[in-house]
Amino acid sequence: MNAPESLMRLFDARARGWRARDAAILAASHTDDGVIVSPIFGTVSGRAAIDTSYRDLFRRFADWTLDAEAPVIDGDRAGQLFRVHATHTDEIFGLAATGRRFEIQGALIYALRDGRIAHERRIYDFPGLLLQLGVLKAKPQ
Amino acid sequence: MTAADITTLLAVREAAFRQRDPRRMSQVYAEDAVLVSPIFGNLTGRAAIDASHVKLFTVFSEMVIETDAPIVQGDRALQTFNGRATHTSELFGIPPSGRTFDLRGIFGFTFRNGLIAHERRLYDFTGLLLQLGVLKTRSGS
Repeated sequence: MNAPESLMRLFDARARGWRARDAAILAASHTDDGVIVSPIFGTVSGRAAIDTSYRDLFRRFADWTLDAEAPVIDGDRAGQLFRVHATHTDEIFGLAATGRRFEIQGALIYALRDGRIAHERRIYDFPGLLLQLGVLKAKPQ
Repeated sequence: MTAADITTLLAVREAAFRQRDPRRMSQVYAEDAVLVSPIFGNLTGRAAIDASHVKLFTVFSEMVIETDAPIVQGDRALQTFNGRATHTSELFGIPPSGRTFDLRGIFGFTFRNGLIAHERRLYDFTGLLLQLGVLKTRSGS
C-alpha cells in the first residue's frame, strides 16, 4: 500500500538523504528486496547492496549534489527529474580521482511497494558522464 | 486536465510520431509551449516546435518509438521511451551516414488548458553522437 502521506514522507526523507549524502537514509527508502538499475552500478539487488552503492557513490564523488524536482506520483509508480553536479574524488572504472567537475541531468523512475521503493531505474546521459570524467575520450569527426 | 485527458493527449502525440506527421504532432502543444531538447536546444512557440519536428523526421527517417504508460500527477507527466532511427539527412554538419541507432530516454511534460505547455527530453545524447559518428572515441589523452 502506498498512502500519499507515506510517499511524501518517503520523498522528503530521500531529499534529506541526498542533501546530507547519507547512504543509510537513502538505503532505508528501498524495500529489503529492492532493485536499482544504474548506468554506473549496473543492477543492484537488495537493501544491503544498495546501501553499499550509495556509499561508493559518495566516496567517488565526495561533493555529489542532486537537485530533484518534486516527484510525479501515480499509484505504485513515480518519477523525478534531477540535475547533479559533482567532483570525481576517487577511482571509478579504473580511472583514479581526476578532480574533474561534471554535471548530468536525468530521471529516476520508481516502482513503489508498501511505502518504499521496490525498483528504481536511473536514466541519464552516461556516455556524456564518461566523457566529462575522461574515462571516454572523443573528438569531433 | 484529468489523468485520462493527459494519457489521451500523449496517445495522440505518439500516434502522430509513429506516422511521422509533424503537423499533427505539433497540434498537441500550446501556442507558447517550450520544448527543451538535446538536439534542438530550447524552442519556444508551436511554430518553432513544428519546424523541429519537420527537421527531426527529415534527419531521421524510419524513426520508430515505443513509449511506456505515462506517470501522471496533476498537470505533470513523465514518460519513458525507446527509439530507433536511421540518419538520413545532415545533422551537426555531418552528412547522412545511413547509420541506425537506438535511443532510450524520458519525456517530462507540463500541461495547460489541455495541451503540452513544456516538454523536456532527456536521453544519452553523447551516445547518440557516438552512434552517428559525430563524435569518435580515441585512445590516449
